Amino acid sequence: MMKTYQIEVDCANCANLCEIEANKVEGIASATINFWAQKMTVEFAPGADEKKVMKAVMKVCRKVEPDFEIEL
Amino acid sequence: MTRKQKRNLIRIIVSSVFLIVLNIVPTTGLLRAGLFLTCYLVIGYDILRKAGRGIVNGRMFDENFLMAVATVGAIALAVYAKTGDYNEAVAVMLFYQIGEWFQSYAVGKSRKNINALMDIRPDYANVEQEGKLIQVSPDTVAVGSEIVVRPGEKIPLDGVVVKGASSLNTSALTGESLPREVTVGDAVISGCVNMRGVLTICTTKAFGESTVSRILELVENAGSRKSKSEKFISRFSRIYTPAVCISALALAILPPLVLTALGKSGMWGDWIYRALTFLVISCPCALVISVPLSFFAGIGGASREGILIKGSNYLEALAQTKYVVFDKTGTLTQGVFQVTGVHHNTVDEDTLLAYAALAESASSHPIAQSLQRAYGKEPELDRVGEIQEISGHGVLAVIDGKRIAVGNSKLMDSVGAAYQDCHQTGTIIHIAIDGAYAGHIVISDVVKQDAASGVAELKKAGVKQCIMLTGDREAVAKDVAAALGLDGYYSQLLPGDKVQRVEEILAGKSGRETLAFVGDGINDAPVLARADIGIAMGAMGSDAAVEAADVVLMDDNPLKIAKAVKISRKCLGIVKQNVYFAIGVKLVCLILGAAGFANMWLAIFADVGVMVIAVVNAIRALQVKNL
Repeated sequence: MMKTYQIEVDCANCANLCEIEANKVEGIASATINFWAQKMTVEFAPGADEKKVMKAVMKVCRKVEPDFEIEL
Repeated sequence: MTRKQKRNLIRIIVSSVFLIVLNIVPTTGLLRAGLFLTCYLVIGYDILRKAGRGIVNGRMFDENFLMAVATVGAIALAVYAKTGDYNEAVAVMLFYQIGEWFQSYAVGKSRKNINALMDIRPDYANVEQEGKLIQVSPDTVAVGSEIVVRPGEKIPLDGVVVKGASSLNTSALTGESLPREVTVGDAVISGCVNMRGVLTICTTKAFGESTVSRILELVENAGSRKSKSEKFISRFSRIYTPAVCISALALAILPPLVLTALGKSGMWGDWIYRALTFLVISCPCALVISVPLSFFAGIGGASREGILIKGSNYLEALAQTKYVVFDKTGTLTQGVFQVTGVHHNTVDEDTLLAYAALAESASSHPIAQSLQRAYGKEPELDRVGEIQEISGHGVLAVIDGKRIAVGNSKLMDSVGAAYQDCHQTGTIIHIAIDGAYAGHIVISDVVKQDAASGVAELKKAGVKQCIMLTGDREAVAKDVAAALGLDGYYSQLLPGDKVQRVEEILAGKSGRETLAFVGDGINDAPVLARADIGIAMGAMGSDAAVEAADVVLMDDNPLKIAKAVKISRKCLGIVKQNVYFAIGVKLVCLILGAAGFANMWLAIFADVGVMVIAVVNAIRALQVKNL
């Protein structure tokens, strides 16, 4: 299951760090952030609850960059 | 400007004015300290807050932390030394914020520019309802609906023209500036701009499967496949920042301790100042920003030229291309059989062509079709009498009351005509009229106009070998290879043999060199996948090509292969420049800082200035038109 989300992050290094953190979240098979397109492509692990997982992603990313925003 | 940018700009202006006033109006003691501190907090509160959160969340060594430590350190020094010079701390924070603002603005601007370049997404489709044209979202148009495209509008969905004629501007898709003429019955693809007449189009694909959507998806996802350079940079920055922090700490503590131990003055203030300068220089932003931006711009520029690259990693591999292997039919040649010569004719060429076309008028064989195309008219069937097809030999027909034999040499033998062989390669069609030899027609695949210059350009771009693989006969392959100046060719290959040949070449090349395979993608999928870079020609219409390849050329012009290589070289060149420039300047500044020759101002330049220069340089990758 692949999904692309519009995101808001305004520093490239933060985007890198968010990507690393997002990949550690349970339920995420792989997450990539395209800073230039302001997009996050997420591949969910089988059986994962998208909404819950994305909330968790948002939380860990906000820890890295308080201004991080995902359009869910 | 976003809201955040506006807010920060106001903060920058307010605190700049504040700082200038503070320097003109003389104040002393606590009041002075208080005012400067207020100014410092106005400009730096968010940095301090982020630094605090970073520490709480166990993420110590980010740039906010560095700036906070450096400026707080500078204030502490000023208090400790009782100099009352708080200017530096405030100014460092101010300049850092100016740099951040400028960076965010430049980044936002370039992102918009690149996105605008790639904006081929149509906004609406005109659908006729109850005699009126209404605009609807292209998403909602069902396959098989009729849509109307007026001059100046984008074609929103793939389809077939059912009414009207016009010329289309395909440059947004292919980079080709010559307009394409279309009329009733022609297939059109979304993203083209209608230039002249009103077209009514019957859609053949839903919006999601239309060319435009496929291209956009491809380009947008390109950033997800990261190149080695990008991976290197993100690894590098993860090690780099902590390393610099530890060095800064060492710089602040070790030299004074050693000096004290040697019985000299420790000069603590001096060394701490140097350590703080160190911290300001250390931010890896220039690298982290400019490297992906260069790739993004390179991919954007290429897509503007009709070259779709599926990821930064492929762009990187493309720059190392030393071997290019071509498929012949459809790639170097047009893949369409044409009459290329009429020889030894006893009647004039047109008459001979007419006889051949009429005799073959009942056949749907590709050869018969090319004869009819060369004839150029609807065959006048009333001129044709009885037609007798002799399988494996040709056709016997009665035309204008004459007995015409059209076929190969065996047929000529059987009708007793003394035929002449041809010196040209291709398919030879002999014709005899009333048993007497009347000449032959040569039909062959035609080499593309730009194929030879495409190969020459590749050579100029530093490609070592251009090799052709074909399932065609030896003689044909030899001819084409010679005409195009190829370094080698393999003929009479089955699809499986092609993979084997490519593997042989792959085994022969050295480490960093890469091999690109160029094919038309329909039966070349295994080879496209096996090669380091698979390049598919002519994406218009062929899903298989888009799927299997790493690079897709929107039109099937062989010149674009060299162009793709050149774009990748330019892009990689810029990446290298940025990496060397940024690391170089930082290293020099770090050494100067450690030795005590650099002050905070130089440090700010090393951080923000380098970053802005790198971003501006990265944008150059977008300009690929004249490569």
